Amino acid sequence: MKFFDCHLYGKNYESDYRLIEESSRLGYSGASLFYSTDNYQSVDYLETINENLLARGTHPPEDTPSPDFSSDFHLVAGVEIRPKHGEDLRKKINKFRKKSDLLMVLGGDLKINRASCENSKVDILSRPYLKRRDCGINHVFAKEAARNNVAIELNMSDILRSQSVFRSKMLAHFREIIKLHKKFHFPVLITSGASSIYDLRTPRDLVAVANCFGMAPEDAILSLSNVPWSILEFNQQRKNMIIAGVKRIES
Amino acid sequence: MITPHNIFRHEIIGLNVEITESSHDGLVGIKGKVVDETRNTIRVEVRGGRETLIAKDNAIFQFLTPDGEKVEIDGKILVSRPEDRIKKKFRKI
Repeated sequence: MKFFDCHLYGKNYESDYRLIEESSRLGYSGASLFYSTDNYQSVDYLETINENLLARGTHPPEDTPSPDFSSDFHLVAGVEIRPKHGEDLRKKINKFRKKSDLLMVLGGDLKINRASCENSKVDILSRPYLKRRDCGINHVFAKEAARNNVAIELNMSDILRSQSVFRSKMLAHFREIIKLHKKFHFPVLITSGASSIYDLRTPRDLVAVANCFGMAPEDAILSLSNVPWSILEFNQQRKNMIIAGVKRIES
Repeated sequence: MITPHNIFRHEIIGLNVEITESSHDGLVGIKGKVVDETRNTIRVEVRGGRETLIAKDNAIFQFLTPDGEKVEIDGKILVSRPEDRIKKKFRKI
């Protein structure tokens, strides 16, 4: 099973390299680093990270206890959009859609959540429950997300970093989203949301936590493996797609 | 001029087509020229002059434009009368 961690926060070369190295050690076959709209343009070291990982994978240094270091790690850079309002969201999506491999919108505001679910150019709606007293999506948004293939992200760092009543509320939000997922079948992503190596967990740990909020282990494994890979595959074909359902075949 | 950008609005009679996917396995692989079209079906003339009626809704078609470009179209978006398809709105990606 090829696991993919779909949300790591990118900062600089050293931090990103350590995150990727650690996630590879924990058993992921790929990961995506997300940058803000301001920082994304200046990121030019991802190929260097890949080359360094590859070199290290083929010739592991003796002092590193990582014999299972994967040399074919799939690294993707994405943009995290933090829109102020719906119009701002539309502008930023149009600006970054062709430039980035993955497009993620930070949710929380009901209008932003709705606009993201209705836009097929968005790949992932991140944390729709952020700073809210409900889960941030309802049956209408869920239908739209399923129609436009927008994945809803469940960020595990929200559980890790919260405690007591806030943690239980977070689990309740997750449970609500899973309930809608079971009915409307929109894609759900389980991510670590790590900004440091101490936030990372193994895929099986995430599956076990997902079991606590009512997600079947098979579904959790799918949302850590198949869903992210299918989003990436779809994005690779996006440039050949003319409209939804029409695709130019390159011979 | 039929291009990949307007083929889903255009007249498809006369184009070469191949059925790449269908809920009816017997239709997969049929190759020929479109000779007639209704709201829900297209009629394909295969080699030897035999004609086959294919439902649009459950199939994926691969059309060959006059310029030699291959375009894969989900039959669901072709479901409408050809004269109505020109004014139909399609969802952009």
